[in-house]
Amino acid sequence: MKEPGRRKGWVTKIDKEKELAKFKSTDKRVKESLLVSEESLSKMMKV
Amino acid sequence: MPIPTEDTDNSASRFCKIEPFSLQSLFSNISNENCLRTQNDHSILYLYNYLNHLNCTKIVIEQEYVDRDFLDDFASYYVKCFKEYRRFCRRIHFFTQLDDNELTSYLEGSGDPVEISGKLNKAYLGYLVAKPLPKAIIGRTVLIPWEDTVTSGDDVSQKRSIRCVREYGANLAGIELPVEGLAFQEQDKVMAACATSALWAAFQLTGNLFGHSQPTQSEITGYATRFYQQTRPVPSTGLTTSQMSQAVRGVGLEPEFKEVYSRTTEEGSGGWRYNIPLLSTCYSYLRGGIPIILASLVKGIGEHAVTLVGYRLGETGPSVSDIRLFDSEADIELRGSRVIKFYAHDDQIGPYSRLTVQPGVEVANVAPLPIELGSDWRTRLGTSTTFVPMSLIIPVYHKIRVPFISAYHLATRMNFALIKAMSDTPVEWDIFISSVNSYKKEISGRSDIAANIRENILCLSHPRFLWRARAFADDIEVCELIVDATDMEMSFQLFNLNIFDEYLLELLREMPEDVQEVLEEDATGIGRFLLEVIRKKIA
Repeated sequence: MKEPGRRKGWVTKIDKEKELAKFKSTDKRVKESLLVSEESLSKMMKV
Repeated sequence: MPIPTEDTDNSASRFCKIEPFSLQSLFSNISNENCLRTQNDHSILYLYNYLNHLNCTKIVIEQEYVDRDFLDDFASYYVKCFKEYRRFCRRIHFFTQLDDNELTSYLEGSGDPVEISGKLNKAYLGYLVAKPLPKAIIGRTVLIPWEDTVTSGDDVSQKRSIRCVREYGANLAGIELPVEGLAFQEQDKVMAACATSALWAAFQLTGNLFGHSQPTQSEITGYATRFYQQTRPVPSTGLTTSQMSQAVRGVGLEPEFKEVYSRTTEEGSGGWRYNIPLLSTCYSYLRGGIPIILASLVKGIGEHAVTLVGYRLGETGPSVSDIRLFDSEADIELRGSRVIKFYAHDDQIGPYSRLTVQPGVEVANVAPLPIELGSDWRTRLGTSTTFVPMSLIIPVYHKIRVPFISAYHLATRMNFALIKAMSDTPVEWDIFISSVNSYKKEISGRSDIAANIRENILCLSHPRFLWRARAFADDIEVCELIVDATDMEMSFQLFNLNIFDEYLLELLREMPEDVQEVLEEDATGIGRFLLEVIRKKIA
């Protein structure tokens, strides 16, 4: 195990709005990913 | 006395012969009197090179071998042709070394069966069933992966990791020869197209993993074309992705269908959207031993399906980050993003063939996309080409309902707390599917976990399938999220949080107010629930 002291600890200041905006961006991409598009590019593939 | 050959009038001659391994001996024993292939054929050369790398020196040929898969195809189609096709195959066994006289002694009853069995097992590399057809001569082929391949436990950077393997039992003249690999076979364009061969290889593994029967290629074609088929299903001209999904349901599994790129009209998108983090998604299932059917566009050639069976992690990953491409705002690092190569059963190349992750290139006037896969394929002009990954079909047990992306979603919230807590330490997440048995087996073999956590994990009743999201800070596993894969999308799927690192535990006890507020104000509610779990763990 490495010495835990190497890790600096909590950041001193957080931009709440920016962090929440990042969450929202991820939420949007996750939601889109869970939908299978009706305009599927691979719908007509024959392999 | 030498081993009987085909020319002698000995009853053993009908059974087997031994030959030194060479390209010529390999090809002459795979081919037949009607064979249209040559020994310079790409897939024959691939097999030769593959076996050469495994130091194959001897082959043993079973002259008349009844193969279940070919027999089914024979009964469904070939026997009804006017032209006569043989129903017997040949089976060729590969060895690193073999003493002809010892095997002869064994057959005559003068050798020690235990001793020779031990020697053969040590030298065994697998087998190939040669079908008596004009073109699709390579039938069920089971070969071991190359040495230095990770098949279980933790990955090692720059090493092949092929976890989609199982044990097959061959029997040569009463000697049991177990071999660990995944069966491969070529399409015959009669009962099977590439999609059928890809499904067949995947079902070889999922049958063992999830307990379903292992269908033959003709049965797979039957499942796939049962409901939707415009033209005749046999001779097969290929399957659509919907038909492939139908075949997955035919064996009692569920198809997790993922489209890699989808169309969009969003401004600045260029008309397409990268729909999933491809590398991390594939990694998350392959790491758990679940094979993936990858349907691709091979630039300048056409559409093609292969079975992904493994991967290789690089120290840093490819030049394009799949997670940043998927979510430009993400500040999470995933181990799966470091995949630099995939290994696939490609029925046009061979088993465990390599696909290299690379940025797209323009081939045959097809525009590049951010992530493509370099291959051994050549266009008709002889130039190299790439696979554009189009969709994934992941055959999963019906209780695996929560997909990778949901485990990723949960991990993003914990990652926020970790990177703020350990502000100068890079954090990497290793997210993959696991069965509870594999999980507990791994934990039981570890000595680096505190006794109370170990006992809790081993004794706690867990869901049958779970997503493990392991966080590493400076290569030390600091915590792990256990996500219930049998839960549903509209739920908080976190089953357990294990904090392995004492220092992280101390830090979490001192979590600043503004960090807590961000988690509490998370609109999805994930942050708030996670915070409650953290509070219980640090209490």
